[in-house]
This record gives sequence, structure tokens and C-alpha cells, in this order.
Amino acid sequence: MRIRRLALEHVRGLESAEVHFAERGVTVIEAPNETGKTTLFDALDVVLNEKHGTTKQHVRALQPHGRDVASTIEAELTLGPHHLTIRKRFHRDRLTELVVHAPTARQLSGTDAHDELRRLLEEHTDLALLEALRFRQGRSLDPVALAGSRSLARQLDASAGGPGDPHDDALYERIVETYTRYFTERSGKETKLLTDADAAVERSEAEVARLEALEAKLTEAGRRASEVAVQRRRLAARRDELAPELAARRDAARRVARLRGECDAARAELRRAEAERDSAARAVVEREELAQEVADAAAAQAEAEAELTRAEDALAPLAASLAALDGRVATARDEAVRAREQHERARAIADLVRAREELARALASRRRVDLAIEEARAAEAVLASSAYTEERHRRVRTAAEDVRLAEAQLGAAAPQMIVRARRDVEVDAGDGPEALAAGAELERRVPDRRRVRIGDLAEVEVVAGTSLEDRQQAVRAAREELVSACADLDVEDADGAEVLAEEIRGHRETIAARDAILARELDGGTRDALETTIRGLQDRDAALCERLDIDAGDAVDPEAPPDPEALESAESKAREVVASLEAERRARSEELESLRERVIAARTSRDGARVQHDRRSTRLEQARTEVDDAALAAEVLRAEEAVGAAEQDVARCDQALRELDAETVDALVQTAESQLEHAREQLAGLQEEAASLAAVIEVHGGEGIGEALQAAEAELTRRRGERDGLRRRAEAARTLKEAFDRARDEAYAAYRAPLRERIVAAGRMVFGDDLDIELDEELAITSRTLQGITLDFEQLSAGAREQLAILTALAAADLAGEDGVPLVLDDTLGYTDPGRLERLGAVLGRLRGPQVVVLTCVAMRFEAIPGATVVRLPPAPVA
Amino acid sequence: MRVLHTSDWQLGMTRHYLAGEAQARFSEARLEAVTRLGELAAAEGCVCVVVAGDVFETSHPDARTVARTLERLARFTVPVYLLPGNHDPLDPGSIWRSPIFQDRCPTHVEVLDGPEARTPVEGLEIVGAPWPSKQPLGDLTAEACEAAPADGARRLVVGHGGVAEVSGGFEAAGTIELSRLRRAVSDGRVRYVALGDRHSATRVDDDGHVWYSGAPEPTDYDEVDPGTALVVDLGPAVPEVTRHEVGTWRFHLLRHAVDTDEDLDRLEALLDALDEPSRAIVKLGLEGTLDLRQVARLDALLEERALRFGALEHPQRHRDIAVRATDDDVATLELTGYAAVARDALHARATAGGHDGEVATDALSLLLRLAGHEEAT
Repeated sequence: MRIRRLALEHVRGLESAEVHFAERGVTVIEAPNETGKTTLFDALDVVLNEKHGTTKQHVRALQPHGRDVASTIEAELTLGPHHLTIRKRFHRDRLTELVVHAPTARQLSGTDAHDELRRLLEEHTDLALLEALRFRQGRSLDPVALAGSRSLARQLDASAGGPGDPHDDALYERIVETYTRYFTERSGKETKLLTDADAAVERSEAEVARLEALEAKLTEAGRRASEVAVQRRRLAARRDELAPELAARRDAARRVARLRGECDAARAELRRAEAERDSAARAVVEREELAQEVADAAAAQAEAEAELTRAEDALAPLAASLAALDGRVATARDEAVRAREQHERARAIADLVRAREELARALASRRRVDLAIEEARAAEAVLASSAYTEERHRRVRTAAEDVRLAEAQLGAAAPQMIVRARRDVEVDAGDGPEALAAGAELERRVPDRRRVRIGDLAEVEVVAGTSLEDRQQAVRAAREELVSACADLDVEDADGAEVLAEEIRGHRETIAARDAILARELDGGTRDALETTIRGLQDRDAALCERLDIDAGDAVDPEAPPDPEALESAESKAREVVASLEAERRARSEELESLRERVIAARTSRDGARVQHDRRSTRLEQARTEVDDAALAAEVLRAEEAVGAAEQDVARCDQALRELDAETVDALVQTAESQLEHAREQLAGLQEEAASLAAVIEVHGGEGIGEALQAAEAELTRRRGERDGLRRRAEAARTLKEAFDRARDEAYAAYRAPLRERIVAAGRMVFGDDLDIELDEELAITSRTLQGITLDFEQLSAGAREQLAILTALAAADLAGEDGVPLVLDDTLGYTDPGRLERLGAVLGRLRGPQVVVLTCVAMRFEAIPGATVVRLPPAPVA
Repeated sequence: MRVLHTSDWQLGMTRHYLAGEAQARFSEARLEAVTRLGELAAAEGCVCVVVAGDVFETSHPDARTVARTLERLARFTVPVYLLPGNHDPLDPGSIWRSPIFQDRCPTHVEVLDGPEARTPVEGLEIVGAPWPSKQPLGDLTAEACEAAPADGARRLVVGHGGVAEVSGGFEAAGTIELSRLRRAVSDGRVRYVALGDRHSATRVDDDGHVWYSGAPEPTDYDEVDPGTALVVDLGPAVPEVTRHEVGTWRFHLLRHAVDTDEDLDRLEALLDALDEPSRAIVKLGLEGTLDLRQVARLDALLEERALRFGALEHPQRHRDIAVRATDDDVATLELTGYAAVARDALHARATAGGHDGEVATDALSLLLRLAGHEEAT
């Protein structure tokens, strides 16, 4: 449905109003509050839904207050392929007119007109969606309810690959109902129906097992009872046979016992006789041993006496030898002392010689040092007083050079004078007479004037012309400079300057030589240190002289210098002699001590041997007084005879026992006794068992166990069958439900996707690029995710909920396409901040397909919508 | 001189396929058969009744079973001889030795518990070959026959067990050797051997001296013509044996192929044609392949019959009959949207077979039922 035009007359506060709507895109209807914006769409509701004759309160409320006038509502609509105008008048002069303009023009009135309008609406308009997309003032902030929209469902189904009606769930509900007989709906746990069936089977199994065990027990008891009866009869017979046999065997045993008593007595007699014989033999042995001991003691005494004599004889020579050794030790010690003294003196002399050599070296060194210092000091004094500097020296040299240059230049320019001799003649050209042979020539330059005397012939003066004036002047100036420079250097001339420079260089070398000598002689130390060393050596010299008992400065005998190494060796040899003699003396002394101890021990030993011998002799004599040796020997003979007699008695008895086969007799009695005992025990056991078997048979025999077992087995078979059938049905129900759940979930997911995608696409323009939402099965938003944070719809702010609701409605309107209905926003977005509002406006402006009507009292709110048609309602007339 | 020969009462028997009251009626019918035997003995002028073993289903029957049996026997007008058989052997713990039996046993009822002969009337000796345990060591019946003097007396030996020549082997304990019985008969030691164990009335030897009486009420599907008792006239040299029908219940094992709707029609007709459904115990041996709709129909028709029959053992789905979800089944399920997707997924699984295929088939079957329910409402 699309609204083309609405015209109202006398409706509430509106006297007359007509609004044309854009069929696609946004129409903004702007009017101040209380001027009838809402009235427009209330009137549309009424003209579409109500007959003109109705008396419903909300229709009556359309009549302007306090005026009995007719209210006329006219709406021009597009319904599917139809273009029509419906006009209704209420309250007075009621009428209904329907004019269909296209596809086929026709006109109806009255009830026919209303019914036809309703038919066309039902056929071409999704009334549920119309309601859902109508945002009235003060609408709740719940998610938009789109679940009831047929056109949307159709579009979504088409997107999801429909057709189908996922909301027709009667079949699914029956499947769930069947499933929940067997399983709980949420957790899928088995219900009591299944667990009871299992429990029943288990109970039956337990009962069968119990009865089987009982039956087996009873059967076994019967079988065993028969066996026991047979065994008891057999055992009783055996017991009766055994009694007389046992009596006979016991008689025989008693005879054996008597004979054993006799045997035991004979053995006791034998043991007594053997003891007596052993005692007599022992007495003889003891007497012989005692006699031997006496003899041993006498021998020991003699040996001790001999030892004592030997020891005492050795004492005297040993003592003498020790005394001689003492003398030798004393002599050797004196020798050793002397050798040490000689050795020490020799060492001291060597030290003194070495010290004096060092002192001489040190003194020489000091002399060289002092000389070098003195010479250097003189050179330094000369240097200090001299006018010589390198600069002055250079000036003299330069000046001398300049003089030579100037003179040379003058010479070169000067006229040449040649004297040619016609005969031998002496010529003096100003530089001394010179013999000139005939024909020879003498050449000279004349820089200024030259007087030449030729022998005694003539004197010629040659004078240079004025052209040489400058050069002569230059020569004079150079000479003056040379004189000044020489004066400065305090020398006569240039050669004197060179001599002075040579002297200065000599002094400098002297100073440099001093440093080298100091470095060499002092070896990095100072002169003071050298001085200290010298004093130390002088002190050492004095000390050594004192030790050698000579005057300081006296020379030691250089002819026979003592050899300390040889003297050291002599000392050590003397010491070794002393040590060797002392060791020998100690050994001797110990030997003597030991010998003395030996004498004492020999004496003690001899005294002990005497006592021992005396004591033993006394004891032997006493024993012989009591019983003499012969009597002892006789007693031994008698006792041996008694033993022989007793042995014969024992042998006789043993023979008699062997003849009676005593061992077998006893064993036979034992066998018979144990057999009888065994038979009695078995009988008692069997009797007991028979009684307990009888008890078992009595207790369970009458319980009808066999029949009960068969009944229990039948019950178990039945219950297993029931359980298996139940499980099979449960499995079928679960399989069916799972298949439906899976298909349903997939269908819903596919079905929701296009709507969700559109909401998200539009919503990202408002909320940002990371927006995401979830839709539930009713196509309502359940949660929003922004910047990674997911909130339930109810947790969102009022503004966000409002914006999401409008975005949902926009998406739905967009998705519904040609089947769609107008989205009407009546004074909404009150919760929305200007920033979001602007972006929402942009979203609205992008929609080209659906018809959107925005009713607002604040035009600014929606001025951002591009391409919107804006209609301003006239202000309300004064009532 | 007539004797009523019966055996295999197996009182106290329980059958798992008999639920609740059916078991009670079945048990009651077996006791009623005992009463009818007493009446038959009186009507036929029998001098005594011999029960050739397996009076009780077990040697430890319920006290009520014993009491009710003895109460019925007390009303017999002739002596009754009960032989312990393989089901109720004579061991020390057995019912025969218990006070429950002994204290209630009427004086004209005797247990053949030893080798000594009983003489109900002058000129007739009854000798029993009781089972002492479930595993006897030899041929008890032949031994009893051979122990009797060869005096040509009118002697009846009561025995129990399979006969090798009838059952085809000696495997089972206590198997009877027919040749030894024949020799005893020809030696003049025995006139008639009354056997029990086989539940169908059977003449064992050619001359007619050795017979199985058959059980008075059937006990299982594999019995041929059960529900009988024999009246044996021992007057002539060769006993004259007359068979009497005494059973009231029937076991039916119906083998049937089911592949088409017509097969199901025939099965339905077959079931409806059975006499006395309340005393019929029916087992269906079905073979074939059905689609979901046909299985639903089979289930429905069996469920309805199960209420009327004494017992109706259902064939097990998948194990006894193959169930196939056909394209027609799927086409019947006119579903759209996700329901159609679920249906097709299940159909694919069902077609793939295996256990999962069976479960998917069951699920489709359930879906068919639930969707059908939708159509009905």
C-alpha cells in the first residue's frame, strides 16, 4: 500500500487539510504541536477500517469539539495494481464512496464500497506490517514485532529458498510432544518412562538371577543329600570294622612298651658304668700330668739361674766401653767449636773486602759526578754572560753574505785593467808585487780606483767612472751592516762570529754531557742517595773491622785470604763426627740399661721358678700319700669290666625289640586310630551337612522356586520386549526431532539473514562499522554488538533502542518491496542525539523504494534527509 | 478293563507372551483339563488314571499350583498314579517329597516313586519308571520293563522320555530304546507301556503296545495335534486305544509373505478366520518388505487383534520384516519449508540403510503418523 493523498475536513482541530505524499522516499510533514499531524493518520485508520455508520468512541472523537458537523476523510491510495480513492463522511450526512481509477475504472458506494475496500486491503496489504511500521508518539521501546508480517515472511522465505511457512509449527509441536514422552525437552535426559523400563528389566534380571541361584542351590542340595546318605552308610560300616582291629593292635603295642622299659634300664646301667671307667682313667692321667709338671718346674728353675749368671757377667765390660766413649765425644765437640769460629772469621774477611771494593766504586762515581756538575756550571756561566743568540749569529752571516754579493756585483760592473809586459817586469797592482814575464798579462778589475806600480817605471792610477756609484754605495752599506751585526754579537768579524758559535756549541755539549754522566753514575738515583750509600759502606767497613778485631782502615792480609767454603765443609765434618759419636754413646747406654733390666728379670724369674717347683712337689707328694699310683691303675681295670657286662644287657634287649617289630606295631596302632578318628569325623561332618541340606530343602522346597523362576523369566522376556520397543520408539522420536531441529535452525538462520543484513548495513551508517546484531526467531533484535561489546536489547539506552527499532522498521519496509506499506514515524527520535539523528536522516534519505512519512514539529530534526518532500501543515485555527 | 492314559500336564507353566489375565486363563484351562480327565475316566469306566510324567512344569512348583491340582485330583473317583518326569524329577528337594504335597495328597492318588508294582484292581499291575533326577544314567523305562517277571500278567509300565526311533537319536538323557520295550512285551513282561514327554498323541510301536498320550492342553507352537488323552482297554491281547480330545486352547504359527496391500488383506482375513480367538495363541512368521504406510497398517491391524487373541506375538520391525521408506511414503508427507528439508534428510538416511537407516525409517514412520494425525484433526 502506498498513500498518495489524504484530505480531511472537520476532523478534530483541522478545519480542512490536504496532504500529498511522495509515493517513494521520504515525506516530512512539519507542523507545530497540536496542529493535527497525528490526526492525519488516525483519520487514515478510521477511513480504512470503520464503516461510516459506526458509533465507536474513537470515531466519534474525530468530530471537532462542540460542533455538530460532518467529518469527511478522503484517502487516495495505491493497493497492489489498484489506484483508488476512498471517501467517507461520519457523524452527519454519512456516506462512503470508492472510486477505482485503475486498472479498470469503477465506482461503488455504501456498504459495497466499504466491503470492496476491505477486500482489496486484505488482498494487497500486509496489515500486520502496516501496524508494525507505524511509530506512534510514545510508542514503547520494545523491538519491532515483525513476526506477524505476511509480506515480509514471503520475501524472507523467497530469500531463504522457501516456500514454506516456518511459523506453522503444529506438526513440530506434536513431534516435540512425542519426544518429551521419552526425553526432557531442554537437556535431553531420558524420562521416567525409559528409566522405569530399564529399571523394570533390571529388577526382573535380578529376580531371575536370584531365583536361578536359589533353584541351583535347591537342586544341588537334593543331589548332595542323596550323595551324603550313601556316604554315611559306607562310613558307618567302615567304623564298625575298625574297632576290634584297633583293640588287637593295642595289645601288641603294650607288649612292646614293656620291653622298651627294660631296654631303657639296661642303657642307663651302661651309661653309669662308662662314667665310672672314664673317671678312673682320668685320675691316672691327672697323676702322670702332675709328675710331669714337677719335672718341668725343676728344669725351668735351672734355666733361670743360668740366665742370671750370663747377664751379670756382661754388665762390667759394657760400662767400661761407655766411659771411653764419653771422652771421645768431648774432644770431638771442642773440635767442632773451633772449626765454626774459623769459618765465621773467613766469612767476615770476605765481606770486608767486598765492602771496601764497593766503597771505592762509589767514591769514584761521586768524583765523576762532581766533576761533571762543576764543568757544566762553568759552561752555563759562559752561556749566561755571552751576547750570542742564534738570531744575532744569523744576522752576521747574512750581512757577510750581502757584502760578498755587493762586492761581486761591483767587481762585475767595474772596468777591467790589463797590464801586458813587454819585458820581464815587477808589477804591483795594489796587492803586492808580482813578477810578470815578457808577454804575460795581468788582469784586474777596477771598482773605484787602483794604483798600479810597474817596477820602478811607473805608477798608474786607474779610476772607475761615476757609473759605479750605486754599487759602491751598496758595498758600503753592506759593510756597515756587517760591522753593526758583529758589534751586536761582540765579535770582530764574520769569522769571529763562527769561532764564537763553535765555543757556544762546546759549552752546550758540556751541559748535555753532565746529564748523561749523572744518569749513568747515579742509575736513576740522586747524588744524596749515592752519598747515603757511601756512608752505609763506610759504617759496614767499621763494623767488620771491629768484628775482626783490627783497626779501621787496616788492610787485611791479602797474601793468604781464608777460603770460607773449605772452612764451612770442615765445620760440618766436625759436627758429623760429634753426632756419630753421640749416637754410638746413646746406643751403648741403652744397651747397658737393657742389660740391667735383664739381670733384674732373670732374678725375678729364678725366684718364681723356685716357688713353682716347691709347690708342685708338695702337691705330688700329698696325692701319692692319699692314693698311690698302683691303686689308681687297678681301679681302671675294674671299671672296664663293668662296662662290658652292661653292653651285653643292652644288646640283648635291642634284639628282643627287633624280633617284635616294634616300629610297625606302633605305626599300625596309629593308622587304625587315625582311620577310626577320620571315619568318625567324616560321619559327624556328613551328619551336619545332611542336617543343613535338609534345612535348605525344607526352607526352599516349598517356595515353588521352579514355577516362580519360569514366571520371572517370562516377565523378563516381556519387559525386555517392552523396553526394546520403547527404546526403538524413543530413538525414532529423537531422530525425528533432531532432524526437524536441524532443518528448522538452518531455515531460521537462512530466513533471518537478509533482514539482519539490511539492518546491519543501515545500522553501520548510524552506529559505526563494527555494529552487529542478533535476531531471534520472531525477527526481533535480541542483542547489539558494538566495539566488541555485546549487550542485550533490554540493556541498551532508550536512544539506541529507538534507533534500532527504526532501523529494523526501515529494513523491513525496504525488504517488503512492492508488497510494502508506509513506514510512519510520528514525532519519534526524541531520544536521539543530533549526531545520530543526522546519520539516521542520511539512512532515510538513501531509501528509494519504500514510502516513509515523518511527522514532526521540529523541522530541523529532519532537515538532513536528502531528497525528502516537505509538507507544512497550516497552523491550527483558533478554536 | 480300561485305563486312562495321560501325561505332560505341566501345571504351573508360564508363557511370556501371555500377559496378565491371558496367563491366568491359560493356567485355569490346564487345571480344568485335569477335571475333564477325571470326568472322562469316570465316563469311560476306567479303573485308574496313569499320568506318564511331567505332572508339574518344574519339580518346585508354586504351593498354590500344587494345592489346586490336588484339590482337582481329590474329586477323581478312581485311583490316580503320578509319575515324576524330566520336568519334575524325584530328587530329595522335589515337590513329591515336600509336606506341601504329601500332607494334601488324597489316598487314591499315588506317586510312582519306586520299583514296586501297584494294583488298583485285581488283575492289573501298574509299574512306574520315575525320573530320580534331571540326568538319569540309563533307560529307566526299559529297565523297569525288563525287571518285571515274564509271566504274561496284565502289567502296565508308566514311563517318560523320548524314544530314539521317534525322536531320531539318543542324545538326550533318559532316552528310551524301543527294541527293549518290544522285547519285554513279546517276553510277556509288559502288556502296555504308557509314555509321556511327547505332547502329541502317538502310537510308538507297530503293534500298539507303546503309546504317547499327548498333552491334554497344548504348550507350544511346534506340537502336532495336542490336547488329547487315551482310553486304553487292556482286555484284549493287543490293547485297544481310543483318542479323546480334551484341549480347549490352540497355538497357531502362521507363516505369511507380506509385500503388498493384497498380502495384508489376506493376512487380515486369515487372522479373522481363526476360531475361539480368546483361546488362540498366535505367532506370525512374516516375511517381506513393506513401505511405511503398509507397516502402519500392519501395526494397526495387529494392535487391534492383540486385544482379541489369547496372545499375538508381533513380528519385529526390521528383524522380521523389512521396512522401506518409499518415494510414495515421502510424497504422502506433503510438507513444505524446513519440515520438507527434515523429511528429505531422513529419507536419505533411511535409503542409505544400516542401523541408522532403520532408525531414520522409524523416524519417518513416526512422522507419517504425526502428519496423518494432523490431517485427521
